[in-house]
Amino acid sequence: MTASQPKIQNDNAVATYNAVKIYGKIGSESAVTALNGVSLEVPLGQFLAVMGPSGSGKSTLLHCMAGLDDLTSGNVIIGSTNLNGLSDRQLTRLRRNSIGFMFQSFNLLPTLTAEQNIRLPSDLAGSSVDEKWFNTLIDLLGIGDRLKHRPSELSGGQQQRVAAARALLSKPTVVFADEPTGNLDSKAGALLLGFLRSSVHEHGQTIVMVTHDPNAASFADKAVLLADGQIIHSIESPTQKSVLEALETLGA
Amino acid sequence: MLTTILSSIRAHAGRLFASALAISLGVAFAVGTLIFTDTLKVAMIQSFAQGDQGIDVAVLPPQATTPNQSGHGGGDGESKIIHYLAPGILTQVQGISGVKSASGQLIGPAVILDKAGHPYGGRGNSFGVGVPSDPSFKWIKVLSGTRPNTSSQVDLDSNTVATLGLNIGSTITVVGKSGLPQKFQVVGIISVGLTQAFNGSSIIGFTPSEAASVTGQAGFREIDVIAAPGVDQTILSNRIASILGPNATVETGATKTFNDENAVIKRANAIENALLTFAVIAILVASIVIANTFRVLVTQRSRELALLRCLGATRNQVFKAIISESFATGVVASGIGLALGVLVAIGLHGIFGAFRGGGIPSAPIQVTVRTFIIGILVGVVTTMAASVLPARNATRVSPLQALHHHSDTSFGGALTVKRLATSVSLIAVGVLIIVTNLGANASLPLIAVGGALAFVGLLIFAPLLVRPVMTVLGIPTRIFGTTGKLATLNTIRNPSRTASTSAALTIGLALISLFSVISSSLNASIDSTIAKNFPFDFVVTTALRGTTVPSSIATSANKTNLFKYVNEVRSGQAIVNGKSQDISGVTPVLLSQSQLMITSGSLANFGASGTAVISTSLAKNLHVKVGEPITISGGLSTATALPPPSTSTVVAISNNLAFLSNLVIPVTDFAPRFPGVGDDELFLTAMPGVTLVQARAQLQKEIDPYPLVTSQDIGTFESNLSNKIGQILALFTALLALALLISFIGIANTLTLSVVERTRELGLLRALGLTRPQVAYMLALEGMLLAVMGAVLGVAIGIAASWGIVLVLNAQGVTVFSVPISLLIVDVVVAALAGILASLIPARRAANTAPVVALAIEE
Ligand SMILES: Nc1ncnc2c1ncn2[C@@H]1O[C@H](COP(=O)(O)OP(=O)(O)OP(=O)(O)O)[C@@H](O)[C@H]1O
Ligand SMILES: [Mg+2]
Repeated sequence: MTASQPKIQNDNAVATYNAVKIYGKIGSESAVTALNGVSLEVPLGQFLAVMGPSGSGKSTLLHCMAGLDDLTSGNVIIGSTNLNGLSDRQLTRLRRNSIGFMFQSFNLLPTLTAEQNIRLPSDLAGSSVDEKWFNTLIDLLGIGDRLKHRPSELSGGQQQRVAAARALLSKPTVVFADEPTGNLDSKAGALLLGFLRSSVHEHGQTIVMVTHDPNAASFADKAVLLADGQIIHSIESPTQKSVLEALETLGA
Repeated sequence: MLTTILSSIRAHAGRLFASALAISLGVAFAVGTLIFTDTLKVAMIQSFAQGDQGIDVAVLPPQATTPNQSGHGGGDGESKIIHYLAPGILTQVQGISGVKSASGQLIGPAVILDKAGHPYGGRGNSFGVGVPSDPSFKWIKVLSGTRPNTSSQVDLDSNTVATLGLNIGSTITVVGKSGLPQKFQVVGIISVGLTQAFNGSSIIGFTPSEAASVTGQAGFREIDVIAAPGVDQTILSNRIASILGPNATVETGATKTFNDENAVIKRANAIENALLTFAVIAILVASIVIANTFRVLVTQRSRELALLRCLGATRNQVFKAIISESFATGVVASGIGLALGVLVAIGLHGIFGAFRGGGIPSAPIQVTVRTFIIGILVGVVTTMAASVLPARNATRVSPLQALHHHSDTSFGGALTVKRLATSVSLIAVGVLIIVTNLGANASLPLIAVGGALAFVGLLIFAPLLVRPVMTVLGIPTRIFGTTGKLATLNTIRNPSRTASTSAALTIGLALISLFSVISSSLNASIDSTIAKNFPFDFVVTTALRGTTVPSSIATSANKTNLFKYVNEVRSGQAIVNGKSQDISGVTPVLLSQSQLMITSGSLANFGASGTAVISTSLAKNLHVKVGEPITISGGLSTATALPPPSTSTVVAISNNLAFLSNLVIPVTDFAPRFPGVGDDELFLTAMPGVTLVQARAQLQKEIDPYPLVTSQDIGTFESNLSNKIGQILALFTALLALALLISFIGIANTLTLSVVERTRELGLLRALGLTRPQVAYMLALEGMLLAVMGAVLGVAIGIAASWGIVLVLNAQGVTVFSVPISLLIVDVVVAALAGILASLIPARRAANTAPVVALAIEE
């Protein structure tokens, strides 16, 4: 697949072409096709929501786009880098410099304080932190008085906001979030989503977010619907209503 | 990055504590050994320095044996034979110009009888010495009182005075060479600078002439010379050497001091090496514990490590984080180990003191820079080496693992061809190395390498054994119902972890059961040798090394007509075909009654004057066959001349002469060459029709005048020999105790780690209705199963290994393979109890898990 690399799209933060992911031995009975030819371009400064029923391949798509897992075939380009054929070392460097992560759970190292967790990626990379941006972030997230606390002393919503600060601190090319509000109540979820949207609109951050929640999707600029490993629908400026309608047609 | 590591160490300090303790104990053993032997060296050098103080020239027995000056005599407490300077040499030295004064060191067998009339101190632990009248000879220093002036006065060492509750002015009873008690008055307390100081021997100081008469020792171990003013040491030493010629070795005082120190250091180094072997075992066990801990920690933290990888940590950074953690652990553990080492040194001093049956010299505790550096290095390097593999595993954690829910922690234990092949070939190579090296020229390091290889092979194989072994061991735990079943399943869920936890214990138990089986086989072989070869009723021996059973006892026992056989065994050293050789003189019938393995010739021809039986090894050495002559010369030097060389004919060659020397001649040929030498042992059989009670009473009457001579029924004699072997076994076990302790810390450690890991699961079980005691029982059963598995494997390995060793030692007389089953069962039961003990802390922790808290943990 490395032979036919598409032209680099400089205005995309991340893009994937003909992504196929098959778990298990190809051709065997236990093989599962999780992604079946997904092509998707995420321009810089877009807040994209990925939706779909359980088992449709959302997490798989996110993992592959983030370089955490290999595609069986197809390409992923982050910024101007094609992930095909990158070594573990190169992928690690890419994660360090160009990608931010948020997960549904287990986001923070239990042994570090909130502040240490936020600064961890730059510590690992040995790079300096933009202190002004750091202060802006913790102000926006309202976690200034929780910096010395350990994760076990924080609420789920607070933990997720610390994770958001960590993901955004290095101003990565793209932030991947897998159901970041999955464990939060609607109020805490709305707080976080509002912050994510403002980071996109006011600071030009790019975010790809997997979610089940039509309300969460309504914070995004665009929503794509996945079913059986394929994109079957795409909604610009989604609202809770338009997303629900799209999901219902899918269910019918 | 440093903050990450440090915070993680702080957070896991509890989990690392147990494994750090394991390393601390291992380091403590190594450090304790070094401190103990360094201290011993200083103490022994001080003791020697006393003897060498102010001496200008020392005259010593010649290095090589020359017939004229050598005589057989014990008295040194060492099994090797020491040669003596003939009394004439002292007179000769005193006459040499430039010699201001010269004095001979006379040392021989003599012992005090305690109030009950028993010899004080063990066999070979009491000596009579001649106290020089001139105080410039400082090998004996008078601490209080005076030197013995008349033949009825003696000095005693301070230790003996204290233990026997004596004082200056007390009257004591002493027995020497003659075997008959004599009374003396204590006039002073002395300290003696001697090699024997190590033995904590009891020392009786007589006037020089009385010492010679009591101990029967005419020769000197050493003659000390003080030069006349203005005479140079070296010049005088050369002059004396040229006059004495080959009859003596002559050294200047400086050389003597130097040589003595070297000898002390060599001797202490031998002890050090033996002890360090046990320290290495302890450290090996500790390294298994630490490797296990790091492996568990890496598994437990795999999500954390994966998250780090997601956030941009390279594999290298992950590796470095784990290694730095182990470095920090190693440093702290070694530091603690250094401190504990001082305690271990004191403990070793105690153990050795007890084993040698007397105190050993002490000096201020010596902690050298070398000890310090070695201790830290050993601890840090072992810890880091043990964590390399787990750290490498950590780098394999993929970032994706952070996203999955609790990943399956079990790995290993699958039967793969590669695994089986590696394991089998390692065991095969290891066993091959051991077997090829076991023979006569055994190389201990190579055997150790072989053992280590085979053990690693077993370790690789062990996870495969976990399921079947635990399924069987788990059967008895069924009486505990679900709790027992859960415990068994818990030990099976991670076979690698179970295997390596119990492996630590396997090492210790393999060694203990190896020693047990070998010593039991030795005992059984001795019993069967005695039963087969010496079918007698009584054995008569003496309680003081260097003395013998007076020959008059055999003579008068024969006259009583109560004994069918009165068989004598005497021993001495003579020159055979020009070479120094131990030689036994026996009553001829003794050999024909014994079923010695005769390879050629016949015992029927033995008995007449000029006949001899030799061992196969001596026959090979001397290149002689049955029917060929050997020349015997030398013997015991007395005031009169030695008997002339004589010729004996070899009539039989034996594969196994039991405890006789390699050359056996009739006692009638032996006596003239060794005048005055009594019997080492007398073997007696009662006449038919005479009861044992009657015979025993008569024998007691015969030996009564001689306090040192004892008579034993043959059964008691056997069990006394066994006791000695038992003592050595006890020493081995004591030295392995630390390794065992470490392996139980390992079990406690694994259980604690798994409790931490299973917090949610334990909470769930509690929520589902398992009571606190049931949780504790479950953990106790797990600890017990782990210990029993390790112990059973260890015992199995020990039995297999000792079977091989006994096979190889067959030619050396270990003919019976005997497994002390009840002892080994006790070992396993003790291990099981210790396993339960090891589970106490983790069980408490597990039982205290609150159902709610456990379920609330964020996953
Ligand atoms: N490691 C794996 N091995 C085999 N199959 C897998 C693996 N991971 C996912 N799958 C399969 O791939 C398909 C897509 O899974 P994926 O986790 O991407 O779904 P999802 O859309 O994220 O679902 P959910 O909303 O439940 O999280 C599913 O059928 C799943 O069973
Ligand atoms: Mg998912």
